[in-house]
Amino acid sequence: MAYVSKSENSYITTSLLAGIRADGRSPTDYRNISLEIGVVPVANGSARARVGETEVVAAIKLEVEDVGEGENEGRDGGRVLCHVSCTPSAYPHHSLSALDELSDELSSLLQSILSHTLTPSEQLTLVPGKKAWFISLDALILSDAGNAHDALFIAARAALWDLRIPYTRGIEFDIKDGEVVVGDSEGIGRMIGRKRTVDFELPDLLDDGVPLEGRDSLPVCISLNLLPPTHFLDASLQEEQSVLSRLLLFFSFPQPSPTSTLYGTRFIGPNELPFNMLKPLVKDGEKYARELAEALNKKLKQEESQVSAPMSAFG
Amino acid sequence: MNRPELLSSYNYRSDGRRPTEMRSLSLLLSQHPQADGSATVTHGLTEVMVTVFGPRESKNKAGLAHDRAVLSVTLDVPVFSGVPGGRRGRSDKRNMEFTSNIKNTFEPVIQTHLHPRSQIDINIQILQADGSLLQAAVNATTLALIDAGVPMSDYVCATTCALHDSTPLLDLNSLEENDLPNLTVAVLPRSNKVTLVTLETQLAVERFEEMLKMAVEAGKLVHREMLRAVQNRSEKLMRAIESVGGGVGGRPDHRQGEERDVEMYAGNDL
Repeated sequence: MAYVSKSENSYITTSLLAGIRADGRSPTDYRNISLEIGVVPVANGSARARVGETEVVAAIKLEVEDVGEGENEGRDGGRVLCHVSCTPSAYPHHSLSALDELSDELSSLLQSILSHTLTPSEQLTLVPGKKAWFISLDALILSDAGNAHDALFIAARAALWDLRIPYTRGIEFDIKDGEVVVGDSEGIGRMIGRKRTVDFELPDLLDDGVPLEGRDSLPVCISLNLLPPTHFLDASLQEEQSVLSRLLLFFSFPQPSPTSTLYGTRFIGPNELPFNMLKPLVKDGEKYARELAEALNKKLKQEESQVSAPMSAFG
Repeated sequence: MNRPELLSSYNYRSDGRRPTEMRSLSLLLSQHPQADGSATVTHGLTEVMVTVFGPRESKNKAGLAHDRAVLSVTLDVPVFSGVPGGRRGRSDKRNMEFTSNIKNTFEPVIQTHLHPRSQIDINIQILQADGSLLQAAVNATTLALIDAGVPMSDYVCATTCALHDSTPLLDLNSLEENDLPNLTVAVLPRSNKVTLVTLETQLAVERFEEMLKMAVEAGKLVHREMLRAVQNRSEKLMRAIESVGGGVGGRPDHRQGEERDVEMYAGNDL
């Protein structure tokens, strides 16, 4: 791993100010992004993302939880728990405690952004007031060659895209003149008159479930590396070490409408950010994020049409 | 549902294999862009990636040895991998046992005296688990160490073997591993030695020798595949060096092995 000396630092920053980068990219170019979904067959949804040599694997396990008030109990509308682990292979010079710290920081970032966007959702409620889905998303940073944040969100987004929520059917008890009649309800967890869904069952279907609603408008992360008066995207490891200030923007683009939603921002780095710079930065960030989100959606759709068939072999 | 039949009366296992048939094996070298050496080993649905850094200066001066290199092994088991038991911390007992197994297996094989006062980091990353984790981890570690150019006296090839009634089964999946007495054996194929034998359940002594023999035999098969993977990797490196060294005379003879990555399957009966 490279440590950047003073002269290297000035070499990198002066050329960046002139819009020149060591690998020939323009300041707003990403390195090659590659994306695979369904890489972990035992998970409910999984993806591997590579941005240049940065590699992140994300996978999701679904569980059914009882709804309750406690810390570790389910919520109506579902619950999300994200965990990022930075592996020692990605950060060979970090001590194990430093790795844990870094993992916690990224976990809380991912958690705060994703739990807002994913929950509460009707789709994640099984039986209102009783059972709900619990989405446990785990991401592994296998190698970090710069810009781990963007890669992490790309992987998480793709894993959520790949997620299939099993079909469920509510079971109802209808009380008629003291006699209990058991029947099915249409749809998930609906109350009609005196009928009340009390439990659910899994219909025996070969198909593996329904995709997440609104998966094409999940947030993307754009890190703007700030080198006033300019900024650049997708820093390599050396660039990351010579330019320390970063503004992370999380955008989501609800599909039919042309609007965008800003889900969060985070400023990282030792320098301060002048207030009047913020607005143009957010505007530029939105433009990049839109391009990235569109490209990812297109790639994911294409990827999905390729891998959908063979999984049914596992029953 | 009944418990699945581990070996049918027609001598087929739950996943359709014969008793001595191994799962498809794939060995990939140098997948990791930053590590000094790395390997990804897949036995059926079990997938393990190992990265090696070093020999290098140690972060932890206390654990240093002045006459040899020390090994530092870490293990990461993500929740989605399919290992039961939820999230594991770094100091989890099961992790510690696993890493110390790896350490003890490789310490006698690596020529540690050549690198005094240094440390070799071995990071084991489980990606998917379907039985025989230790076997996959040992095989991946061997390849990663070779890829990093760490001097070793021999390959270390691991296999698992279980006993169903009186039939030994090779290369177990998680169903078989949970239900049958099984042992993991790490073989040094050239010197015909064994560096690791683990057995956690009870077993009739008369059967042990047969199982051990079978596992050692299977280890030699794994060795052959490893040799091929390493050879392919070296040839690829040679070609890369030649192509940089100037186009004198060209390199027309090396065309045949030009596939990108090394991937192979050893599914044949022993």
